Amino acid sequence: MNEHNDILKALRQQMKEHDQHDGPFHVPEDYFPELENKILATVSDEAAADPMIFTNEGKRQTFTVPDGYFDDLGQNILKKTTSPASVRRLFTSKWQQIAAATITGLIVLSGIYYRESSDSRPIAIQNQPNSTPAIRNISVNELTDFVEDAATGNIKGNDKKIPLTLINFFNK
Amino acid sequence: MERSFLSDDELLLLFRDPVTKQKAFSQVIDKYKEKLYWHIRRMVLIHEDADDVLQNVFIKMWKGLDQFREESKLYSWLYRIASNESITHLNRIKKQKQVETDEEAYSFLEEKVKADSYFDASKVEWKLQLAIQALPEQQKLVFNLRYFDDMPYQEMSEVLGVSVGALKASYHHAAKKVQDYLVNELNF
Repeated sequence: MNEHNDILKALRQQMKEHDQHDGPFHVPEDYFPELENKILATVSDEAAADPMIFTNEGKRQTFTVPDGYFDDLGQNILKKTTSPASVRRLFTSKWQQIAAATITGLIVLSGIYYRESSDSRPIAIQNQPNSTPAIRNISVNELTDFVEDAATGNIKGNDKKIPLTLINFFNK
Repeated sequence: MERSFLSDDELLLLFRDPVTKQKAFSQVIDKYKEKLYWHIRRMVLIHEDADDVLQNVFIKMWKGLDQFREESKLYSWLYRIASNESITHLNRIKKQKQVETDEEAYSFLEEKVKADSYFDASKVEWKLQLAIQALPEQQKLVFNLRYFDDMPYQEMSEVLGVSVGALKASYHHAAKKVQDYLVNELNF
């Protein structure tokens, strides 16, 4: 065989001559004749302890399921996929709704206030007179009253102090 | 006179019939026990370890033959189980002995070779065994299958799941390392 280098070729030849083509290791006498019986005994012991252990049926029976589980499984899954989606109300009482609307309103107002106070327009434009009253000129109490009125659907559209965009937002 | 055995296909047919299953199993053991034993022994080195691994291989075969895929040969499948079981066994022992580096692994295997009651440092076949222990496990498998078993590369590819080209390269490197080791370390 050309792929073996010279030393390995010579070694191979030498081992063949000494009947050591499997290497220098020795096997106890009668090992091979007895091996088969040892393995068959092991396999028979395991099979005798549990005759189902080596069959596909046996492998499946390691675990159990409640009676009728597979009969009802299809129906149960189908029920879950076809039942209408339920809508859950977060706030059930009138006062909870008012409080939620108040908090939402305050968050919106804070956003508007922040935008106005950090106006990035050029100074010249910022200093021009504005036809819409600036929200920063309205007191917190007046804004809170407005948001509570909005929550109860009682907005006074003629309140000059409140910017029109804000009134439109709550009237939507 | 060399014994004649049934072909792998015939054995598989017999194995699938519950009436002839045990007889077929017995014949598979008879057909492959020596080949597999030597393959395992060259990897794990100690007879008792080889015996344990070989028995596991046949028991795994008994349990797994129902799931055996026809496109793979019984012979390749058994060699694959034997190779994997041998490496698993070696790794388990190395872990127990806290063998971590390549140097520690070589010393560990060298000791095993030298512990053999027939070991003779003056004999070339034992020198060859010491040189083989310096190979990484995968290269050792390739070298053993090719050098001792004369296994064709195509069959080796089925056993080890590696391409023929990669196996040829691996054998070439392994043979070079073994020769260098014999010359430089063992003054062959």
